[in-house]
Amino acid sequence: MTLPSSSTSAPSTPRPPARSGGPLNPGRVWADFVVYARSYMRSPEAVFFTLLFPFILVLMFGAIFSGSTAPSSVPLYVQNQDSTNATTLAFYHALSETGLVTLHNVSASVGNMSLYMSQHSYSNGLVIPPGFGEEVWNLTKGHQSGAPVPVRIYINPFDQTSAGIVEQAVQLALTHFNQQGPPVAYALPPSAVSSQSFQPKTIDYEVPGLIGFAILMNPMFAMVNVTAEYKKEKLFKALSLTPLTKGEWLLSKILWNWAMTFLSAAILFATGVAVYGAHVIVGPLILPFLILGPLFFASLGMLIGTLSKKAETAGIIGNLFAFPMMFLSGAFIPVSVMPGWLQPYARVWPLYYVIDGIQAVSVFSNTAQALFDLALITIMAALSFVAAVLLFRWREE
Amino acid sequence: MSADAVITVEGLAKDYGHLRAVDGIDFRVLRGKVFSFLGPNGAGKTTTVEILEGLRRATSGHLSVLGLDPWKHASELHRKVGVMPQGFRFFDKVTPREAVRYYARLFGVRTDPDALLRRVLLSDKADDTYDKLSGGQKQKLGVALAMVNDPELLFLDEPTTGLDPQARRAVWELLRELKNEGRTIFLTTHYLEEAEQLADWVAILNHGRIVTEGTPTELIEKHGEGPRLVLQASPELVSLLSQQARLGLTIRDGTIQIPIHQKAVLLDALNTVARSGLPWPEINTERDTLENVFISMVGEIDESGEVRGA
Repeated sequence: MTLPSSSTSAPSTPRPPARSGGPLNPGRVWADFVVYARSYMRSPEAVFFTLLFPFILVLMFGAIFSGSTAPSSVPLYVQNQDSTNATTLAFYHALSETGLVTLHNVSASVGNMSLYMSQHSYSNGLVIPPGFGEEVWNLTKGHQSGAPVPVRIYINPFDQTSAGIVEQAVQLALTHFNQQGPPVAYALPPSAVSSQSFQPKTIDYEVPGLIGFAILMNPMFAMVNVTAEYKKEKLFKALSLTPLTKGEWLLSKILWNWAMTFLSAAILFATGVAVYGAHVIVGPLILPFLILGPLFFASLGMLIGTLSKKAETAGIIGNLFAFPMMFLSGAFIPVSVMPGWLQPYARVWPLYYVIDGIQAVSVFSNTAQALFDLALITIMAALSFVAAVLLFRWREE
Repeated sequence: MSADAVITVEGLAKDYGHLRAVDGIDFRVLRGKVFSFLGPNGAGKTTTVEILEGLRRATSGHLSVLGLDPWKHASELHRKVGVMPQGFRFFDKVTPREAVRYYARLFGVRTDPDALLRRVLLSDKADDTYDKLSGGQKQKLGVALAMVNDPELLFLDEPTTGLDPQARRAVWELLRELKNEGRTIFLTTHYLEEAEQLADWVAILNHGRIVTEGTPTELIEKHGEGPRLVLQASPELVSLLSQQARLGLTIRDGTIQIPIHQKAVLLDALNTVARSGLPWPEINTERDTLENVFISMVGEIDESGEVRGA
C-alpha cells in the first residue's frame, strides 16, 4: 500500500523540523500575552514581588541610608608617578593605614586624570607627581623651599563629605612626616574635576541598585518558574498542539517581563524621588538597560528551567545564582563601600554591569561608562538568548 | 490507503534508548468512527497517540494522519485536529471562558465560548478560575478546548479519568453527539466499559503490540466464551445436572455455568431443573463483556490502569 505522506523510516535528521507555523503572528503573541498577564496578576505572590516588594525595598533602604551622603571609607584612585622613591612609598602606606580611604592604583600611562575619573564615574583621585618623595624628604629635614608639596587631589565638589574624608586622609598621612620636621602643606586644586551639579546621596545609588534587583528577580524567577512548571504540568505539550509557535510564546513572555521591569523601575524612581528626594537623571540611555537586562535574565531563567529536570531543582539553581548576585553586585549595598578584597568579585556578576550602567547614566551622566556596560550586557544577552532558544524544546524527539 | 481512512499506520515503532515502547504496529482509523485504543499503563498507548499528534517522532514506520505526516507537518495538522492530552492541565488563574477565547485567538477562529461551555456542561463554572474547578470540570474544559477549532478528527487521551459516573456518562453523551456530527474520534482509555459503549473499533495494545482488534462484538465473539446459563444450586441439583454430559457444565465462583450453544441445550437444562423439584435461589443468563476479553488477553487492571499483580 502506498501512503500519501510517508515518513519516518529511521531518523535521518537529528533535529525536529521547524514548525511551519508561518511568520510570527502578532495576534497569537498578544493572545498569549493577555492570558499570561491575567494569570500573573491574579497571583497575589507575583503581584507582591513585582510591584509591592520594590516599593517596600526602596522605602526601607531609603530610610536606612537617609541623610547618609558618603561612607566612612571612600575609594581613592591614586596615580603614583613617583613610585620608586622610598619616602613616597612610605606616604602611600601611611595613606592606606589611615583607614579612611580604600586605595585603587591608576596606571601612570593615564595622561588626563580628570578625564579618566569622569569616564569611570570616580569621585576621588590623587596624583603623586615625580619628585614628590624628595620634596617631602627635604621639607622634613628643614629645607623649606617655600613651595607646597605639589600633590594634587581630585574631588567631587558636590560630594563634600567624601572630599573631606580624602583631604583628612592625606593630611593624616603627611602628619606621619610632621613628627620628623616642620609641618608640610599640600596643594589643593583650585576647582573640582567632576562635572556633577549635585551632591550624590546614598539613595541616588540605591535607586539604580534596586532597579537592577528588579531586572534580575522578575524576569529570571518568572522564567525559571514558568519553564519548569510548564514542563512539569505538560503545558508546553498542550500549547504545542495549537498554532502558537515557540517563538511567539517566547516573545510574549519577554514582552511581559519588559512591561513588568518598566513598571518596577517607574515605581522605584518615583518613590525614591518623591519620598527621599533622590536625584536621578532619567536619560534615554536607561532604556537599553531596561530592555537588555530583562532579556538576559529571562533567557538565563529559561535556560535554568529548561536544563533542570525538576521544578524544585530549577528553583534551587535560580536562587544559587540570584542571591550572591543581588548582594555582591551592588543592588543593596554600593560596591564602593564593600571591602577592597571583595570588590573585584562584584565584577564577576552580570548584574554589576546593569547596575553600574544605570548608575553611570542616572547618577554621573557618564555616557562612556554606560556604553561600555551596555556593550557587555548586549553580548551576554545575545549569547544567553540564543542558547535558551536552541536548548528549549517545544516538542520531544 | 483506503479512501475513508483518516489515520493509517504501518509498522510503527518507537524506541526510548534500548526500550522499545511501540513495536511495529499497524492499524487504520476510518472517517466518522470512534476508534478506541485500549491497554494498561505502559502498553505504548500515549506514545502512539503522541506520535500521531506530531508531538513525538517515530523511530520507524509509515503513518499518515488526514493525509499528512504528523511530525513534518505538525503545524498544519494541529489546525485540523482537536487534542485533549492525557492529564490535561491549564493555567491556574484563567477561567474556562477566557481559556476558550484564548484558544480561539490562537486558532484564528470565531467561537462562542458560552455555547461551547454549555455543550460540555461547564457553563455554570465559566467564570471560575481553573484551580477552583473539580477534576471532572477540568476534564470537561480539556474536551471543550479540543473542540474550539471545530476539528474533523479528535484525539482524546483518557478523557474521563477522574470523573464521577454521572460526569463520565455526560462526556460519553457528548462524544456520541460528536460522532453523529461525522467527526472521527481516536479515544484512548483504560475504562473498558467506555470503549464498549462508544467504540466502533477497538485495538488492544500490550507491551507495545496490538494483541487484537475489531468491533467490540467481534472481539467478544472471537475471544469470549459465549452466552451461558448461570445458576446457584444445591449439591443435589449440581449432581443431577452433571449427569447430562451434553450440557457441558462447569462450576465457577460457586455457581453452575452451562454454555448455551443451542436453544435445545438451554431448554434441556431448564427442564431438568424444573423437574428436579430441588431449590434454585437464582438463575439467569450471562454473556462476556469487553472486560472479560481484556482480562483474558492482558490481565486485570486497577482504576489507574495498572495491571494488578504486575
